[in-house]
Amino acid sequence: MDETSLRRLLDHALDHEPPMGPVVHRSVQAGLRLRRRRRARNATAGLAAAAVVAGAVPAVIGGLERTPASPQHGAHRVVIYLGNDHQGAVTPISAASNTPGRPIKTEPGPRRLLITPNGKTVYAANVDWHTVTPISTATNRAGKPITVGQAPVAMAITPDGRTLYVANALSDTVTPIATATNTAGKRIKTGSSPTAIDMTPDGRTVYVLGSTKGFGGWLVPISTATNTPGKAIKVGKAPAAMAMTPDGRTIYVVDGLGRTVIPVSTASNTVGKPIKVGIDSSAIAITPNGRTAYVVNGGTNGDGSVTPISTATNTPGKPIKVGTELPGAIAITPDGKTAYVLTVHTFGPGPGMVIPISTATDTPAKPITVGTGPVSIAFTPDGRTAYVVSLGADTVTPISTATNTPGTPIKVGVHPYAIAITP
Amino acid sequence: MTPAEEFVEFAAAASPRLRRMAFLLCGDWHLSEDLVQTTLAKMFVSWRKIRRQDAGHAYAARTLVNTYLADKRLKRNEEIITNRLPEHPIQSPSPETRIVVLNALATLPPKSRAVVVLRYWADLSVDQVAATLGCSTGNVKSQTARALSRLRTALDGVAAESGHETRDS
Repeated sequence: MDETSLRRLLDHALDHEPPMGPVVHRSVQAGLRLRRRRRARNATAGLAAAAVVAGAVPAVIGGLERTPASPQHGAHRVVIYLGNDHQGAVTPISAASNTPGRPIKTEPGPRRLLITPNGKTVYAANVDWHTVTPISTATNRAGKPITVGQAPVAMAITPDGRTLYVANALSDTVTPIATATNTAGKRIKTGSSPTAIDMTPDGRTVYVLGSTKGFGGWLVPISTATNTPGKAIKVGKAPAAMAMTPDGRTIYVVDGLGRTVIPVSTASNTVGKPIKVGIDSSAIAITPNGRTAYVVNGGTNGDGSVTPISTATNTPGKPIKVGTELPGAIAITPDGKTAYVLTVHTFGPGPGMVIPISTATDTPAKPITVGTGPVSIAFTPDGRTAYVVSLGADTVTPISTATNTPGTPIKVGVHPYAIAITP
Repeated sequence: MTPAEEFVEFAAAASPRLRRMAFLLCGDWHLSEDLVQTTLAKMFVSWRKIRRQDAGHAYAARTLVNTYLADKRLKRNEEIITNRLPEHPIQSPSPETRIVVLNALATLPPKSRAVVVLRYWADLSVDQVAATLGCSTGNVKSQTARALSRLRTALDGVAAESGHETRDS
């Protein structure tokens, strides 16, 4: 049978074609119904509220990007924004129904998300590009991308929401952005490879952390009034993360290579005595009451651990074993009762794990299984649900913080990474 | 002309051919009408975008095939249960040919069937088929080869026979 006869046979299969019904009319009716349903769904996803509670938690490269925590519990709808790396898109998810809305297009690598204190805008830092995309939470539409430096890896915003600071890892600069107009100001030169950024609660100083070969780690305070950098503070060998106490008095810088955590006083910009922790520490979180800092240590042969540090005395407690090689991000519930540690080593076929640690007793509970490669975590404003993003499984898993049980994973785009939640 | 009017015009022009393509995919005229309706409804929603890209027909073929494949995946059954009797031709140059061809097509997995219909009935190139199905050209070629060898065993006799006839439509 040659191709010509196959073509002829296929035509024969259509013999005795019956007359067609009113397909066009019915299609338009069905199309109108479909459009109404989609609009209803997007409207749910687009309803956003007043304040911000959970910010993006970058796990692998940066430190903890905090957003000013001023929970306002009036609003009912919570919208989760997910940075989808692969597609260059941000996916909104309605927390009420756990259904993803239509992806909002950004530029390559939106791996950091930050929501303004008024909840009106989500800023997506396109790490694989040189832009920040503003997204209106009311309409879920992206505005014009704002050009910053190369590889914007970290963001912090003033408590009044007027200025966003973006650290550009490959340009060795920080870009201030006026949020009223979404225009970038003059770039502020820092040391090389800035990786983390944090704002004091009074909004007067933004601290930028990075490390330069030969020099080691540096921490630069930038006055937000003048946008001029102060003198660099030398901090360890190659720090990758930092966290500030809620009162803004102390910054804890994690120096994985130096196996220490370095406390820095923001009043005097001076370094305190380094605190010994485990090896390859990469992440840190501080309880909302500011009493304990939890530092995630790496390990070999499944001996990863978390070191609690008393911030009153700057002394480390007994390491808490988490039984995995490379624990990654850590986040603490808004009520401060539980710290959740994500394991990022299982990018292979194995599932990801979330290890809850009771902050009252510093003991780990049974690991919670989530999709492969969990990278970030955020909590709903009421603290009842934690959402864990699994990069390898392309899912987000809701976890009840009361019972530590996972819900049905939500399938989202390709390579979801950062997460931010509005109240 | 408003976008809605344009859509109606496009749908009216495209639906007969789409329905035939759907029939070759699923082998049932009623189901094929449903497939076309779903396809056009989806296109209606995205019509502004499609119109801008001036890609109506390619988009329609792609949506139709995806709708068919999704339908197949959902149901996971090869047979369509129906209370309708098959339409018996009263006078036809070759009443069996139609049935034999449809039976032969029904032995193919859904994706292979789509490849055959797109390549040999819709006359798309390998590249166009790959783009329509969202797979590689290599995959299209191997699917084609497998499908053809299967169809050959089922259709060789009929092909020779129908070669002497001319279509009356």
